[in-house]
Amino acid sequence: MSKRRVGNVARPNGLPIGRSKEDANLLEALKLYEAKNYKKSLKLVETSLKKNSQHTDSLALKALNLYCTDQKEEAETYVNRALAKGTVGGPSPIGLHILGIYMRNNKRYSEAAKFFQSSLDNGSKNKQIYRDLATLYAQEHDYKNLLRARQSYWEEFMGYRANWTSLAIAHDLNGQPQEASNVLSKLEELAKGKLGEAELYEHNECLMYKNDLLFRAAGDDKDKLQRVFKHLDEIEPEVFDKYAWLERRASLYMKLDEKMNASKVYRTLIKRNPDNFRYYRLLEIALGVQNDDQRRSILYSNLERFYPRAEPPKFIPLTFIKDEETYTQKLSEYLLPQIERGVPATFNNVKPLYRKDTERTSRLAGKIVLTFLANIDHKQSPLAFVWANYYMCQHFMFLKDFAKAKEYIDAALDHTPTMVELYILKARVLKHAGHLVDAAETVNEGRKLDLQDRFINTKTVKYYLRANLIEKAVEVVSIFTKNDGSVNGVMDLHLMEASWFVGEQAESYYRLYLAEKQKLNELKESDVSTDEEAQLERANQIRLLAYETSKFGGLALKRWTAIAKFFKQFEDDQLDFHSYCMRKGVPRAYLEMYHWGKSIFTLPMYVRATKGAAKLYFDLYDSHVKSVDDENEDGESSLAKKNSKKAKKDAAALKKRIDEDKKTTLTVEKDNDILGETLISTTTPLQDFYDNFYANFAKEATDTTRDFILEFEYQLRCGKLPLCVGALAKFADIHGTTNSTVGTMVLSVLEKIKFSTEIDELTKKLALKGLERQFSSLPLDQLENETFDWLEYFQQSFDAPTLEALLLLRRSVSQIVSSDAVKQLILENLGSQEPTVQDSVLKYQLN
Amino acid sequence: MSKDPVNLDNIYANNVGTFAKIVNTVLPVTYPEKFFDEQFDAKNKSTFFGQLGYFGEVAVGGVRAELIANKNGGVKPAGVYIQVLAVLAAYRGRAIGSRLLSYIEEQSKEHFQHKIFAHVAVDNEEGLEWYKKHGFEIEGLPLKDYYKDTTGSPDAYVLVKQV
Repeated sequence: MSKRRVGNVARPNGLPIGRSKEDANLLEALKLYEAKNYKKSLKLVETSLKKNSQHTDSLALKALNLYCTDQKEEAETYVNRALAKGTVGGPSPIGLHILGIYMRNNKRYSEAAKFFQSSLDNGSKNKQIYRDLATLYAQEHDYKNLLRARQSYWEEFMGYRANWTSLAIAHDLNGQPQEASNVLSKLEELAKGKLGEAELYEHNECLMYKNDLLFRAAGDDKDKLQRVFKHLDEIEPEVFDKYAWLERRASLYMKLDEKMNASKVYRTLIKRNPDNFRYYRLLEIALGVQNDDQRRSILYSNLERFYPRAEPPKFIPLTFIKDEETYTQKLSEYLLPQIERGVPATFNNVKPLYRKDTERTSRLAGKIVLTFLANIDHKQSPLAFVWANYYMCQHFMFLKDFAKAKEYIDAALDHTPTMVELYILKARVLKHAGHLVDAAETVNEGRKLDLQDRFINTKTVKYYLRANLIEKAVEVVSIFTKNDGSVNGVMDLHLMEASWFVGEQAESYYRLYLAEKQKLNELKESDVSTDEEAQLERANQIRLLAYETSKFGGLALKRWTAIAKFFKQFEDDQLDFHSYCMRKGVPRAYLEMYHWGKSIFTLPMYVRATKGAAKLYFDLYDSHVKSVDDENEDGESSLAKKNSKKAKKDAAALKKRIDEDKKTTLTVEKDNDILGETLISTTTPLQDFYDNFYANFAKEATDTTRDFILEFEYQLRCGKLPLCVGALAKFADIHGTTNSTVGTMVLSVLEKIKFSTEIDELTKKLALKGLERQFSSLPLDQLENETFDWLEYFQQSFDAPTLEALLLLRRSVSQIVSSDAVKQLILENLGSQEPTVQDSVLKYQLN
Repeated sequence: MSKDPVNLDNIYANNVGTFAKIVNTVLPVTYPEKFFDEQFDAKNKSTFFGQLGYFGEVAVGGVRAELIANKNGGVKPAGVYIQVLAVLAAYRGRAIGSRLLSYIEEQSKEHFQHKIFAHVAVDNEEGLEWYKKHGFEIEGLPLKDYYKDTTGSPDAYVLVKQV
């Protein structure tokens, strides 16, 4: 969606009198550039440069034109030439502005800001630059400079409302809500009585925003809060967003301790929207009944009479009723009408209750629905029969009784095989039972019922990818994508930034990578036959497997990297909004986006991609995998010559295959690393991981969004043991010092201290000190004792190990504790895991 | 429910899979994909009448018939031939089949046909009963080995209704 801005450059001012021919040409060329006649503009600049190859401004404009005509590398060389000039004879203000635009196009925002700033400092009369400068500072979250730029621009162009709003927001971001509100007040005075119909919405948003500011500035000060209240009353007729207005009113009453009045407002809000759970909670607090179950019951039974069709008054009592009889009755009144009406989400609605008290809810709900099921006739009320079975299937799935779950969903499917929902649920059951291919085929069967259903289409794709059937997945997904210029929908899905698909595909490729790698290793370890023919065949097999391994690994990295790029794009896309939102007059929505934008690299999909990529990069680092080619070169060279005919044929077959693979996996046009070969053959996996994924995540992660295990594993491989201990300590703060993962981390650090030759003594000492501080009972004196059993210590001093902890142990420890012993523990642990987890660990993590 | 939950709608290329599912669930004969696709094959010149029967929003029954004009004087007699008519077991007794049949009857009239044909396997007692109740009569002796890919009897009666 991002439409690349081209930038409105320079006006012909700021030039000395008696300008040179080059300067005149430059202005002409600039006009052409602005009209997007890049080629003509380029030509004109080149004629100038022919005469005077050192004319800096022309060099800069040439670079910009080259950039806009997609010759990015050449553009960079001209920029460097323009910059090399230094201050004397360097770029004029116009040149600086051009360079700034070039940098902004190049997404080097802080450099762009520098050039814009110095263009202004060097006497550019083009005050429009201030606005562009402000957007850059906003993008960079540089509030102080943002305020200065907004202020300067506002001083130049006071006639626009947007400039006042921007200035207010800049004050706000600098923690000056009072100043911000003053700016808005001044504007209100100026605008009084001059507002047209079209401006009313913008005006209303600014009024509400001002109230936000006043509210925040008031804190707990009663007098100030009273004034906020007064302001709120004044603006009432002009405010469109009645919910926000009422919510503010209620919170003001709460802050002023007028709870009765607050409760009245909350009742008004409930009346406006009886399905918002939050209003009910707040009403409870306003009435002071949140800890009094009896009064709560009365409250909700009254509310239920008022709003018989609303969900919350029926549901909320279920979260606090203790008496079993009443609970059963209420639960039954809640569940059965929904099942009779055929609400597919019935089980999901009560899932929180199952989570809260699994024993009680599952016992009672199971009984209610089973009794219901036993008492209805499947011909009299066929749909209720189906939905009751559907519910029971989910019920048993929650209890991890997959055989029972399957019975119920099969009963529903036998009865009515034309409902899509049933296939999806059956597929879920099969997936949990570890039958990934069957699951995919089942959901595909459901898909065929209605080919237009996009939801089931994407579900099918996801299930195929889980089953590593990538070709089928791509075939199905391509039904809904735009496929011009490509053999399938993969390219379109990248263009659409469909992370769900790209991420699942990455994980699928990663699993195939592991599987192929294992096959490759097995073949390499197998005995070499003396028969020449067989040897040749073996070499060919190895070559093929090596190719497949590196291809799948490369593609996995390629896809994960694509997700990282999507998120960078999300970040860049904000740039346009710093001016757009001001023009549209939506300060509240803008600020919401702005704060959201500060944490996009901690959103689940980005984290998932980061962790996925981490696994592969760590694997590359750990096994020091070199590029596939030089691994088997020695094996093949001597033999290949002897039997060159077959070798040639094999090589040709491989080449054909590579070309074919490239066609089906293409993501963007003109890609020179379609299969991710460059990515996978990196010699600096940790650095790549940091640059492409981890840096952004670490920059934005807060204590609540940090991932300590990831951090630990990364720093462990970087050899930064004290940082490992730091992550470990934070993790222990949250999960307790006897958590088994903590134990695993301790052992991992100890192993490095004891065995690593790359880490210097000082670092080791620091880490040891840190460990000592955290764990006073740690038997560090045994570190030199070769017979000390650290595994036994781990098992005795920490909680029963979780699967996660054991897998981490397996990944990071091999000497201090024997790998086989850890493997044994994992196998024992797997007994209690659900089949799909067992499968994936056995298949992919134990080799 | 005050509103009649039973409705009919066309079969479309996108949901022909639903129709196939119903047919292959209810009847012992397995119909190949080709059979279902021919209705939407632009090259196929035959005229088909197809409908799905819904209970609530769930498709539970379906019918497909072919118009057989006597122009070419083929083996089959002229009229409308019901190729399949099926309703899921749990949804019978709600007149969904009757509604589907009357749709075919209407179409027959519109196309000036007075005979509706159907084949029913000799061991399909429920089916025979149903057709007789709806005014069909058995014509001639059973056809031997009429059905190929079936788990039931391969022999079929020819049933006819005059409209």
